[in-house]
Amino acid sequence: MWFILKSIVNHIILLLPIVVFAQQADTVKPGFFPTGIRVGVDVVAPLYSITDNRFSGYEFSADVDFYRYYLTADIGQWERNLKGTDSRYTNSGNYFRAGIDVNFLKKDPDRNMLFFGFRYGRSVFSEQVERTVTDPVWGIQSDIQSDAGRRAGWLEITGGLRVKMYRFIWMGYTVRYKFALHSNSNDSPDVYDVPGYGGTFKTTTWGFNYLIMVRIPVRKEKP
Amino acid sequence: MRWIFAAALLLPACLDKPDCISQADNTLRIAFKKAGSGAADTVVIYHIEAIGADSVFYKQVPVDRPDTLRGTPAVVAVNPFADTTDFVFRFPTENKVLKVRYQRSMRFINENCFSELRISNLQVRFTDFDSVRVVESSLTQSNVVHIEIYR
Repeated sequence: MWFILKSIVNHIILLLPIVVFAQQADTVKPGFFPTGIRVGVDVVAPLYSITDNRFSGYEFSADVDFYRYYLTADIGQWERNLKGTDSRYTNSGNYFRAGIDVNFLKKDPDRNMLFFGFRYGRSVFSEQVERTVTDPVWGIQSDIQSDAGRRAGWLEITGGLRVKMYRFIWMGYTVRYKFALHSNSNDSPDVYDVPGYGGTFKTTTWGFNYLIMVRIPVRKEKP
Repeated sequence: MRWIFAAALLLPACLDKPDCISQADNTLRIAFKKAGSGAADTVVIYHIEAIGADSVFYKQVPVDRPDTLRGTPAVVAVNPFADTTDFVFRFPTENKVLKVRYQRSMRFINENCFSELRISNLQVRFTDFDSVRVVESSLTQSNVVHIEIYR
C-alpha cells in the first residue's frame, strides 16, 4: 500500500514541473501588495495516519504573496505510539513553522511557483516511555517516565512547487531539509521524536508534504 | 531537476534507525582501600544486603560464612526502579550502611530494541563508613570502580 502511494506521488511530482514550465509565456508586473491568500491541507499526514496505526496527525498550510516572496506558515499536530521489545513510547504535540519562500517563476501569469525557502519550526509536546523490565536482583517491575512540557525548535530549507489546477484550486508539494534541532529538555526520558521534526537520533532529517490548497483573492490584479 | 526531487523523496527511506547498542547498566562497583596508603584493602565480609531486594550479595549458602575480597571490588546492583538504594555491609564485627542516590534516564532506542536506563550523577547520601568517595558517577558496562571506601 505504502509502495503504491509512493509511486503515485512520485509520478505526480515528476509531471508537475512540465506543467509549470509550459506556462511561462506571459509576464507578471512586480507589485509588493498581496494579491491572495492560499490555505491548504497536507494529504500525506492523513494518508500516513490511515496506513500506519502508530502515527496520527494532520497539517494545514497557508501563504500570502508579496511579489515573488511568499510569507508562509504551517500548523499541525501529530502523535506517535510505538512498541519496543520491553517498552512503549508515546508522544503528542502541536507544531508550527513560519518562513519565506522565493518563487523562481517570476514571469508566470498564474503565479505558479517553483520555490526555495526557509522555515523556523517550533513544537510543544509531551513524551512518555513505559518499560517493564526483569532485573535479576530487583525482579519484574514496570516503570514510567514522562514529560508533558517539552519544547523544541529547528530550521528548515525548503523547496517545491505550487501549481494552479483549476480556478481557485492549487496543488503542490514541499520538500524539507530539517536541521539545527534544539530542545529545552534535559530531563528523562530522552527526547525521541519531535512533532513536526521527526526522530531525534539524527542531526538532520527530511520531510515531505503534498498540499491541496485554495487561493482566496484579496484584491483584483491589474491586467 | 526531476531527479533531484525523486532523490529527495527516496532519501527519507534511507534514514536508518539507531542501533540497539546500549552501555547502560545498574551494576555498582565498590572498592575498599586502606585509609593511609590508598592501596587495595582485603575485606572479610559476610554479605551485602540491598534493602528492598530479595537477593543478597556475597552470601554463602547453605551456611552464611564470611567471604574474603582480596583487593577486588564488591559488585552490587542499584535499584533500577528507584532513585535511591540503601546497602548494608555485614562484616564479622560490625555492620555499615551506604545509601546512594542517582538520576535515572530512560531512552527508547527503537521498536526492535530493548529500552535503555542510564544511571548517572551517583552520590552518597548517607554512610557510616569513615571515608567514602565517588570516583565515577555514571554506571556503565565497563569494569570501572564507582565508589571507593577507605578503612
